[in-house]
Amino acid sequence: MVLFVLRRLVNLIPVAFLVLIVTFSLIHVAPGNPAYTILGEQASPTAVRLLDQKMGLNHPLVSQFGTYVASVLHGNLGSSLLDGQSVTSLIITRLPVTLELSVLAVALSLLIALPTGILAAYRPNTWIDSVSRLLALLGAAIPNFWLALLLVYVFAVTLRWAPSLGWVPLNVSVLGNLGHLVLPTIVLALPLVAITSRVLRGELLEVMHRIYIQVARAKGVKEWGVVMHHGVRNALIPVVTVIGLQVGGLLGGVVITESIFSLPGMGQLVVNAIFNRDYPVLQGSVLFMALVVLLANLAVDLIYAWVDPRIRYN
Amino acid sequence: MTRKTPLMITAATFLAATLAACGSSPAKSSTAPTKSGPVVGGTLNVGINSDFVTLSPAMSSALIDRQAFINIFDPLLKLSPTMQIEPNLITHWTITNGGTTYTLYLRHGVKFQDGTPFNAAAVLYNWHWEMNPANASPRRSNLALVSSLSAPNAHEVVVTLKAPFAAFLSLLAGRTGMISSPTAMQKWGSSYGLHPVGTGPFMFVQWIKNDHMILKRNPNYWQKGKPYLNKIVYTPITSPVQEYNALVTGQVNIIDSVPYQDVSSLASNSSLRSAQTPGLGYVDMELNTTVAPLKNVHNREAINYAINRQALNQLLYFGHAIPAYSQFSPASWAYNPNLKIPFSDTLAKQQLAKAGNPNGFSFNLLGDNSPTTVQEMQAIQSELGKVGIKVNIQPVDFTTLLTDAIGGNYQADLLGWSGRPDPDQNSYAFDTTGGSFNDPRYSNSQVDSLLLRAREATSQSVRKQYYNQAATIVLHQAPYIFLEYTPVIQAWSPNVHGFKIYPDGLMRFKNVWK
Amino acid sequence: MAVITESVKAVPISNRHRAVRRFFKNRLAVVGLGVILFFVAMAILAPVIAPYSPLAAHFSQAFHAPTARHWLGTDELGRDVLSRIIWGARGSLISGLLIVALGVAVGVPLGLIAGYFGGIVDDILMRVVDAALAFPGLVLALAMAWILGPSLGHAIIAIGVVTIPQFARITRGQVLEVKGREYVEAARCVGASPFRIMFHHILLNAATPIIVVATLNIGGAILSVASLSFLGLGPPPPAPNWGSMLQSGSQYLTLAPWISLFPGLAIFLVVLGFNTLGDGIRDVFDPNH
Repeated sequence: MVLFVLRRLVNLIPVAFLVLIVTFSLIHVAPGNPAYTILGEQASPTAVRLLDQKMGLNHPLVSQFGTYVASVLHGNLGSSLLDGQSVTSLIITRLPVTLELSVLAVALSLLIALPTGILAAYRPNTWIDSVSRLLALLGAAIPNFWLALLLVYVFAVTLRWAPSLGWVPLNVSVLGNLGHLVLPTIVLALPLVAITSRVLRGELLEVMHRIYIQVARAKGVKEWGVVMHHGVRNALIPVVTVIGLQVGGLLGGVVITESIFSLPGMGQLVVNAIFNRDYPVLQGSVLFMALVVLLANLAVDLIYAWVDPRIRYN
Repeated sequence: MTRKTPLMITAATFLAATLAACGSSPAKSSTAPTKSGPVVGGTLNVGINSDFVTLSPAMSSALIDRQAFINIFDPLLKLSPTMQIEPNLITHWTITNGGTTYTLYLRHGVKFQDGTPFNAAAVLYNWHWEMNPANASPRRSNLALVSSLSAPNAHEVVVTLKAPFAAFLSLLAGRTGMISSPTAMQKWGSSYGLHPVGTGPFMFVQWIKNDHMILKRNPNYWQKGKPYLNKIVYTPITSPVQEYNALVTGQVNIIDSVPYQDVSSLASNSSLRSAQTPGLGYVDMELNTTVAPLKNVHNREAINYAINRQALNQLLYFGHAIPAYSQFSPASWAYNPNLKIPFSDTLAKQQLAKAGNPNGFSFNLLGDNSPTTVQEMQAIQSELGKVGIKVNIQPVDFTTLLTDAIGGNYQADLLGWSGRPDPDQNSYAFDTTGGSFNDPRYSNSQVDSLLLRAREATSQSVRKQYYNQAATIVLHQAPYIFLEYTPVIQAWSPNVHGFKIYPDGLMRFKNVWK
Repeated sequence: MAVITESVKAVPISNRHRAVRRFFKNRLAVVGLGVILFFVAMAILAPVIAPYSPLAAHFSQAFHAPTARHWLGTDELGRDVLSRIIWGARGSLISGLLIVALGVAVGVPLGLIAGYFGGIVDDILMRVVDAALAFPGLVLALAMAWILGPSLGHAIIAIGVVTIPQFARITRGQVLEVKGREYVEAARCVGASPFRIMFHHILLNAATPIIVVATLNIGGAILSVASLSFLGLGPPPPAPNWGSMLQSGSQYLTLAPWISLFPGLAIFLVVLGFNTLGDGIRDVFDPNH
């Protein structure tokens, strides 16, 4: 077991290195130069040249990459080209926003997916099942940016029930914080609902066909009790797995959601870094996101292996 | 739109942002008369159209930074609402030696917010720092004509220029005249932009990027009794629609720009106040004069005639802009309302025939990918299509746009300029041969000499004549197709008092109370 | 979606008739197919059925609400929204199909090679796949599309590349399952070339899950293209494109909500169509799910 975890962790190193190379080369073959971003209206050929020198962007790419990797190995992700803020501190200030948004979205999706999934499995191939399936399909098909616009239009602009954008930290006002997250959470949660409820239904059906349930039933337990007690407990593991594997997709959704709702999280950090050519910030935050995804996948594998003894750590 | 730094992808905004910098009607303000006088205290929540880039005036290029600077830093000279230069931290000055020596007399008893005395040494420290190439300050080009600086005493600065430069005082009303505490600059080094210290009415407290920036009252401000507000919170909102919405819902008390489509409904909304004034900026197309087919002046002139500026104004600005024909907006003393060219398909086709392509030609138009710019590019495309000129639209992100425009790697682009108070700042670097903002690579010896004479002359009426002559040549040679002068439109809630709109669009909160 | 679909079991193709019948018993799937056919017809017949040219701008008619003349209103340049949506169907459908085709064409051979040869080849390929899957897909596609410059072709390439690893992984999993079976061993004994074994014996038997995943991916691909276009990385204007229409309409949400409302609805319906169809096909092969 320990050996298995160690092996997987060691495997992360080449993957992380590949992620670094890809990010670095992607951003450096991109047209445009961060000096222009920084200088903006004031950009002139001389000013651009001077700034390039100051930022070390006039060195060959290979040596820039070498310097970067060396500093990453020393635990230093560098600092923003725009304002000199350290990338680590940028990530630390933005992580709570994304984390809270993601946790809320997962929670909301479970709140909807668990009952619908269970009901659908309890009465498969009935209208309940069809409705739940339809809901799942709708949720997966709605473009999140469109949904965001619709929600803003209806609930923020027309009805004025919720603020349309921005962020209030939890320690400033709990209500304000949650109020600002209502619409973004819904946008982010909907696709998750779709996947989770369908997986739950499928797993439940499978579990319920297994013999021990037949046995339980034979012993006279009521059907609802069977579903809740034996079925759900066993079917939850794949659900956890699905959520773990959706971390990557969740981060993609976060990018759009945070941009539309002006939430100062990781997604916005990445998008701004792309468009500002802020190399260190982009590299640092993408590396961080990639590591989160990899670790989430590892966690999923471990849970799986732990729960299902048939899987061996070879 | 303007050469501002976009910070967001949803920055639908540049256009609207600076578009919110121009105008058709003279300043109309609907500030209600107030019962009582100023009250000290309160927090003002301000919506701005993009986040700040840096809070160091020495390192700033982004337009938006100036919204913070105007309240943290008191410029050496200030601008009146009609963009006239007035004394501020410089109480008076003399210009001698044929316009090459400026002697500046500094106000006594002023301190930076960290207690450091404001004096000649501080001014010299700032300017020497900015002139040092190693610091790569965007202010360096502003000070390029300076041959020497000296401080005969603690409250006097003598600036010697290499050549007469009429716009020098105007620079001192901008970022070059915003002096930072030398103590703070030394203490923070390269991260000074996150810890600004000036002499202004408000001092910096906190800046969470893309979220908010907080200023608080400077209790030791040199103007006794001011400012009134305890606290200012800036919130960047990159979508114009959302920014306006934030004002309507009360999330912010004042916004720096209003979407054009909402301006008319705003006037009838009794729960909001607003003002509009012509801005200093404009939107234009830059045509690369060194590459075919726009190398041919007749092709450029054809575009000039084929664009219906009035129709664009109605469509894109809901009639709130003013058709533009030069770099000098109605807010500038150099503005000439008689300088214009007609909208005429016939004249356009004549020019196409003269150019040798009577059936038109095609070119690529570069612009940023914000919805507003994309809409404007399509409108231009549709207009030019009517005379046979085919436009291929290339939306790119803002950095790519600037890189290509400045590198000369383009045929035409849709850009703009936020505008500065002195006409020299809006023309010299753009129109003279080899000028640092001359993206079209335009060269005309007559324009060169007119603009040089204009910057060296001292009389405003003489300068105005030179600018007028230069502008006429530039209009007809068309290295730029000027489209619209953009208005400044700002709105606030009724509990905000004492606010005044300026053509530069900067929101000054020294005299504001809530 | 990966998890759901990876567990699809290979089904012999011989049960085709029963499969078709089962498909048509699934009402949702049939509706999905109908929606897709509706949009396909729309795309093909665009020149005939579109009431106006999708490009004809009439500034004076901008922002008109839906009327009898303009069923879905006019946009910010005075163009007919309905005509633009009809023409926009072409780009959306084609990009969805091409993206999945790209993912399959590159991903499946990679997965075959990795799964068949195993060892170091497998290790290297799968590390690359891991790395690729570790990126949030949309961010990677965004970065690539932005580097290549805004065009529908570039958006297709960017999103296509991002879907490759998914197909590689699924194919590899299938190969590992099928590899040890008798008919593969038999083929090897007879002396068939690795190429023939991979493509003839293994791929044919691993095809069903790949088809299911591919169908389910078309909707997602269309959605991704719309996302990129919404962020300004779609085909250059004035080409009618649903995502771009939504983006340009978003700034006039209060003034003229129809500009962004209807293209969003079109995206939604098409994606829904493909997802329902994919769901139906999966049910056919794996009724327990």
